[in-house]
Amino acid sequence: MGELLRRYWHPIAGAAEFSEQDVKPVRIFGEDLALFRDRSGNYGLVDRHCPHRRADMTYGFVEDRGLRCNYHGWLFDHSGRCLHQPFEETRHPEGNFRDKVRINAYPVKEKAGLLWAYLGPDPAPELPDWDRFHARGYKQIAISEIPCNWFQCQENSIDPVHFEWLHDNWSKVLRGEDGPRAPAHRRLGFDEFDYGFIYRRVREDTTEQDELWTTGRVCLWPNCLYVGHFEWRVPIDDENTLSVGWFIDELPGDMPFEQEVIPCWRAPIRDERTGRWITSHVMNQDFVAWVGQGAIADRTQEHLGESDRGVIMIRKRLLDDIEAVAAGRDPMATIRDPGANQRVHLPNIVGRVNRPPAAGGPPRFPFLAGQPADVRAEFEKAWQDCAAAQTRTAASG
Amino acid sequence: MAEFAAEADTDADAYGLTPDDLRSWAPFTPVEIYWARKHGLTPAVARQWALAGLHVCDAVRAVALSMTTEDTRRWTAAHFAPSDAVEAAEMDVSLDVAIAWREAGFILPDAALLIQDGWTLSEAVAVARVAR
Repeated sequence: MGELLRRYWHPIAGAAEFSEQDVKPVRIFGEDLALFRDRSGNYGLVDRHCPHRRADMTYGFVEDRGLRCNYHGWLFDHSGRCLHQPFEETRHPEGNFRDKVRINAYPVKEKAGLLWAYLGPDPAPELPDWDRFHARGYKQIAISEIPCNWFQCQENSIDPVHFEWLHDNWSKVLRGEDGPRAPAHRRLGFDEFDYGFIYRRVREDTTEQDELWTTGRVCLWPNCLYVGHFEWRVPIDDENTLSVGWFIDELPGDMPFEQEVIPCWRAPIRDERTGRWITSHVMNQDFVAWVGQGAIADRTQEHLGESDRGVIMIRKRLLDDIEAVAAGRDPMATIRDPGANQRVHLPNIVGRVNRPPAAGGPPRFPFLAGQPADVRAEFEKAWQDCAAAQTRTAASG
Repeated sequence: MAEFAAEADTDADAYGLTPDDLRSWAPFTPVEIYWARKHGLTPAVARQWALAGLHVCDAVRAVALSMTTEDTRRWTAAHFAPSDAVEAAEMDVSLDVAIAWREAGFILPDAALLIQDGWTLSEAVAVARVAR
């Protein structure tokens, strides 16, 4: 699955998830895999089944170097090399059977608190070093599994009008508000740039001088939305998507702030009390729309209109890029030059969602339901510490 | 506006643009200026296409297709978006064909993709249009 998507690095887990476990099962691009960190700190992503007798490697155990199958003790390193076959080497110390056996393995890198995998052919492109990863602020990662195809999730990344209805107006209805509707969209614009597309909007309450038009939002190619935070849509398989959100809350003042560990939590999408989808938070509302389109949205039954020009644009690009890959070319937004991969800038509206911290206290987390209390508490403490430092600085200045 | 200015400065820095660059390219945004320069558009050419209703990225495509602003006027006269002229030229869709598809309820970029995928108008209408 996914010759095109295999040309990119994809986030598949949070590094923090390996504070309490060494091995976890991962399914990506329809492949069942075992993600592990050995005692030397190497991350590996290997077939879930041992090439010996097909036992489940996620029940294996890590060693100084590699992951050992719990069935007969075969040991594999992060590159897939077989390092040890206990009984074979006892019976045939001179043998080289282990050199004839490999487990399928994919490279894994850690960046910005995420673990990234590359499942394509060599040479791998650069793992993008987005400038936002280096910004000062409290960072957190939230992951959900969404039961639908990744591309209908990504189409949402270039659909400005949905925000007016799915988020603004529906939220009012969900809150029981009877007031006026949210400002309506008046004009849309879509532009291509090196790393995807920018969508721009003018609403009833804005003009072409507003950042919503001058800067716009980024549909980051091929499977991410960037609006100051990142939302990747990574295919688990054709009918399931791993939603990986990377969030940053700006902190008061300019006191140096270093976050030792970026927490990673799993965000629920279903309300256990009702069995219905959770609707209270922005991304949960998106999930409701995407899943509602069906496991794989039937595009033959759509009636596309003016608001869908961005959606059509990325469909065309997807088809063009599939052809490019088939012809042996790099698809859009592939970074090959390490020198160009330093704090790569992405346009970002600073004055709206990512507004400077208010004096009233740390803002609530609006994107996903289920934020753990310890993550909230850690953020509040960071926020209060920075606010106190800012107050001290102001008083002494 | 202060916030916009701050972000514009960030974008300008990121794309290596000086205040003089921004002035000479006004009213284009840093990303547009970067994209225009990358594809060899001058400020005058970018402005000429902007007057015809094309964003910089569409202007780049139009220039690559050796189009003129007059080509877009034929399409806008028929009440298509200026960018539709570029899309149609890229996808080899004539104005008459585009009008026929539009009358059946398909906007130009959607029609162009369907045509490229081998659909005829009658097939597309039979499958995809409830109100026929």
